[in-house]
Amino acid sequence: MRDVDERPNRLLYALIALAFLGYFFAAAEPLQKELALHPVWAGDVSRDADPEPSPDPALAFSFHLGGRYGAVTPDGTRIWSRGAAFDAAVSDSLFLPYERESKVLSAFTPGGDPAFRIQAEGWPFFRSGRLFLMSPEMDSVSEYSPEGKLLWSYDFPFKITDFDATESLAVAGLLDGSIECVDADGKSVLSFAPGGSRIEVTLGVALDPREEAIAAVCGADRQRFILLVRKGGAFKVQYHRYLDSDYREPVTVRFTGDGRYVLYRQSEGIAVYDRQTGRESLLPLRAESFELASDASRGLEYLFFRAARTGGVVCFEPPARVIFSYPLPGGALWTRHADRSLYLGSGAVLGRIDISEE
Amino acid sequence: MGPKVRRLIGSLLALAIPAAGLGSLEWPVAGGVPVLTFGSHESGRFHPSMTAGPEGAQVRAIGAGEISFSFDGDRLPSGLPCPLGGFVALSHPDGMISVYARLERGSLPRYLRAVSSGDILGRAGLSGFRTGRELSFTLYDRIKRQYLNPQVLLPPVRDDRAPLVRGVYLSSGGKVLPLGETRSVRQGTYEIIADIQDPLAASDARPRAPYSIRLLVDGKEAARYLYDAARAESGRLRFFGSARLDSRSYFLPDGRIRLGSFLLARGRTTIALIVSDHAGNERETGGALQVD
Repeated sequence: MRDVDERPNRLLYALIALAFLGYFFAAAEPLQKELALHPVWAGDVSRDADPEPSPDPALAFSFHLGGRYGAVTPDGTRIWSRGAAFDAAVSDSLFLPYERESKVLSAFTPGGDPAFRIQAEGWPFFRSGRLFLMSPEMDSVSEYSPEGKLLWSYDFPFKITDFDATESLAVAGLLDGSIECVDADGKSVLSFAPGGSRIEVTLGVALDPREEAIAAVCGADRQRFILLVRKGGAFKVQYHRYLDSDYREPVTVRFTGDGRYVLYRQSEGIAVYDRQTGRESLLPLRAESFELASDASRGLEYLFFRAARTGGVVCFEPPARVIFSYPLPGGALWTRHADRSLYLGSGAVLGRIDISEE
Repeated sequence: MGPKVRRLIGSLLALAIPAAGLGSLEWPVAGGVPVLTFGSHESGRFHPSMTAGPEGAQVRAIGAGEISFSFDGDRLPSGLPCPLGGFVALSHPDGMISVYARLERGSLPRYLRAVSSGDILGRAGLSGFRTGRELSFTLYDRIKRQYLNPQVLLPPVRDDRAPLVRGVYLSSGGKVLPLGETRSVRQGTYEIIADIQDPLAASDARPRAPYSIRLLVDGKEAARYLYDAARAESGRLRFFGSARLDSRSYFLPDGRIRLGSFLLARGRTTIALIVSDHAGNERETGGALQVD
């Protein structure tokens, strides 16, 4: 009788052990390899240095650090830099230094050769490699081709508080609380007033790199996070949430490279909204502004942040698992992620740090 | 009906609703002098704001409101250039928004939210897209989504000088004929162009816009432009109410303005221009032509 009684228990134990083993191998997440940072080089960019012919110009990339701009090779052996009279707009293929009250803009190649001139008032800037000009009253944007030809101009209903662009869309947040989106021909595709707050204002806006969604932080008393998603050609509100914050200043909003997560500044840190699960997490980082770069091969995001007296890089696995943090002194800051390297500029020093798995 | 009465009626019609919520307004700078007025020609565009001196003046709220947005710098945290420089936006009752821009760095209030009329919002300075140190001031009606001419609502500036009409021209087929010097033209359609400025002093060469322009052809009103409001529609800033003009159709590159195209039929034709400024000073000019 005893033998008969013990048989089901043994079977049960065996099944539990098997299930545990199965869970251990199938469900457990592999441990993340340790990421190590290796400083490679650092260079001073505070002095003017004329452009030199690079062995392979395609390898050189441009930088913009404070009021200085220039280009550097990945190995740091060739650096040229210049100081802008007032400021500069910089992309990988063009430099547009400009004066405070500029009426004519001259564009240069990374090799320092003149590219074209634009006769128009305003300040230039790049978004997603596209060249735009912001009007002096900050209520109108023009786009120019890489050859300097005017493509379109769009007068927005009121002054712009934030602007983002992808390959074929551009979105502007306005002081009256509205969000306006135009296509690559400068034609309106969205004019939307979120409402729902006592004071209407758009504090920050961002476009999903895949052009499927627009996110914004808007309003005051109460402030809201809003996500618009494109359905059947039109953008419609998919999600919104009232926030505890009461900002009356710019608020950074950014999508990750794959468009799945939206990050936006909050009082307690940076909120990370997961579009797939609808859940929100928090990166415990007090940043006034930030930019994102994706490392798709490792499934990591690099968040380059700026705070009152400091800045730095935070590497995290979305939604909010911090892998490492690398502080930088405040002041002028420039950051870029390429392959397995971070290029960081702070003050007048530019440097490269490689990231490896150990 | 005198020009001052007409101005008042026009202003009330255009601005009655938002003005009611604001009550009596103060100038954003004490002893304010408009440098560029609403509708001035600025680099080919209609200026929807007012630039006001004196340079470096303390900037005050025109009425009670609440700060909805402020920024202190020439580049937004997102890297976006900020040609307004340091600026403060005040949200007023009834959907009015006033914007005080090109404020000197560090002069903006950091913790102020609710604002009373006359509260200091900063100091005009070297900031944003201007080398001058004057305030850039904008008034906007959020309900109608249109810019308003601030001088219609602000207390009038002392101004005894009538606007200047430096020339009226007829243009057709690439030919530009100055009215007054031209005695006769052929029958046809002509564009009437005017060179108008509103100086505050004899040596004043600022390209200030007037407040209203009336064009009379043979004694009948052919066009009337009231510088009261402007509104962006489909990506283009339009102004003068139902005329819905835009900068391209209104301004020539040199700042002269196009008053419209008119068919001049055979006979004797008189063309008159009546221009008034914000203080109600009026200038009338014109001439007669023989149309063959």
